[in-house]
Amino acid sequence: MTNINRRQFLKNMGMIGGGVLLATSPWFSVFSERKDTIGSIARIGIIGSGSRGQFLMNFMAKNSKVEICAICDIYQPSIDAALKIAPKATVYKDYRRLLDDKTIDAVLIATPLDKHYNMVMDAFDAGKHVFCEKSIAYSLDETYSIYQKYKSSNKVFFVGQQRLFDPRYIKTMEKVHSGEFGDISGFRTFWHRNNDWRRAVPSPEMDEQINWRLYKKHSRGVMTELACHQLQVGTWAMRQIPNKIMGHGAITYWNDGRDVYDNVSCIYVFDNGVKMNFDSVLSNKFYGLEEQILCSKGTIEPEKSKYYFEEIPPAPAFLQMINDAENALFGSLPFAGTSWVPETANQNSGHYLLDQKTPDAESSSLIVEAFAEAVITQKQPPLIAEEGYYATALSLLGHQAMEEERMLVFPDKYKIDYLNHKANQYKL
Amino acid sequence: MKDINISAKRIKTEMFTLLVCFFIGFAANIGAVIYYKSAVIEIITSLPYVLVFMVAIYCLWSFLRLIKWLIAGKSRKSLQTKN
Ligand SMILES: NC(=O)c1ccc[n+]([C@@H]2O[C@H](COP(=O)([O-])OP(=O)(O)OC[C@H]3O[C@@H](n4cnc5c(N)ncnc54)[C@H](O)[C@@H]3O)[C@@H](O)[C@H]2O)c1
Repeated sequence: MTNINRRQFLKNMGMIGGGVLLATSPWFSVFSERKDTIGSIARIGIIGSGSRGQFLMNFMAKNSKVEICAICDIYQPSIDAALKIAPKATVYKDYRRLLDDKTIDAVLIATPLDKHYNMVMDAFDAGKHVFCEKSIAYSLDETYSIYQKYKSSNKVFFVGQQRLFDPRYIKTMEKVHSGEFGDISGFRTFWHRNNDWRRAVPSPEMDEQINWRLYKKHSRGVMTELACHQLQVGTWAMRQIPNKIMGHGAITYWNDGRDVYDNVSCIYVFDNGVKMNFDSVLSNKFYGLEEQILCSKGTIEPEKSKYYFEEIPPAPAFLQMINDAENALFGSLPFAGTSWVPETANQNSGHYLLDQKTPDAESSSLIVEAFAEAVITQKQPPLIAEEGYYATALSLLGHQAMEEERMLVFPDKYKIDYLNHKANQYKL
Repeated sequence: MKDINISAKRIKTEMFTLLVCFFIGFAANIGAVIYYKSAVIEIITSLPYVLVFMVAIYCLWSFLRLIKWLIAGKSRKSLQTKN
């Protein structure tokens, strides 16, 4: 999608003009100065040109304000595939050499989770703007240090939480924040699949390198890979950070040598008692993924792009009359009235959030474009780093709660000034 | 094959019966809108239901008349055999 088309696209969504968009998603201010950036170019280096790296490179390659000038990877097939997207890019095998290149403005880091910390810290030290794929880092200490580094760097810092740029989610937040759906009562988030989550490996000794997601040494499994996106939706909607975290994880199906859980359930409790659940099983895909926002006046399912009001309009009076007459003649509930009837799910087909179907890739494309704009203007859009920070922190705490099999309270030392949290004086 | 002749009087009677059925449905709809406190527009938007209702009670009425006719036919026959 070209810049002009995208502008039109946002206009069509009712997302440009008016303060509603910025109130719900302040990071969209990044697009407000785009006229001044015409003709400017962000020179970006890619560190980790695997599956996600290539996906994002495809958008960059189509963006006239981006030049992919360097690629760094340690796996030749990833380099070969990336060169097909950016044939003129210089290739590095050591990311530090890429960072030495003074002509590079910014880096995209899309390597396995345990590699993020050194790369992000070194990139800030080298004076680069950073787009780090989610989750930010492997541990809370590392995540906190990265955030502090960014704060002292005067550089742009994006985290790959693309739902922040997804029109379905933005419309959802508009509705939730305007009070149209009443009070938030809870969140049911889940991400189920029925596959082993493995990638084919050319030789067995490369398994850990390629299937890094399945090993605790490199990843926190579904928490840092999947929950991270969904927990962020909860804090965005609530405009609060949950302070209590509990959960349980197990390997119940894929006993194939992995050591990350394939069956997890976590509960995040907000200060007012509202709960956000995250469930994931990797051996059933019937319900797929969703973030159900349960409110006193309705429910929103942003993934499906649908919402449902609690009160559905009654049937036409004529049909009600026929129905009542039928019940009077043939009888319906012979005893005890309706109170014993189980509250089975409502038959309610709901309404669509957006008039047009949004392609899935749209939000990733937008976040990349926003990053390029921010790099060119050298202005960090509000709150985007903080949303990323807490998404990572909550997924890591969920993992810790499962490992320790106890309820955790959000540690003061990892709080930053955001929403209901105040930074602690404690220094790491 | 035998031609079936429907007299103009019969057609008129059936049309009138159908009209009565429609008005019963229409009146019931207005009553329901008032009783269930629904939107007045339903007097128009529920017309398809009223039409289905009209056909249903017309069929019911015809069925009752058919039974009456059959019973009357039988008693006529038994009277004839007695005489
Ligand atoms: N935002 C999203 O929706 C989303 C989706 C998928 C993945 N991701 C994130 O993107 C990151 C990468 O995931 P992926 O699926 O692309 O993994 P991947 O395994 O396909 O790619 C990682 C790449 O990093 C390379 N690499 C490893 N060590 C390196 C090093 N020292 N120097 C340079 N390159 C190195 C690997 O060779 C590989 O090509 C992860 O953090 C993941 O969580 C985000």
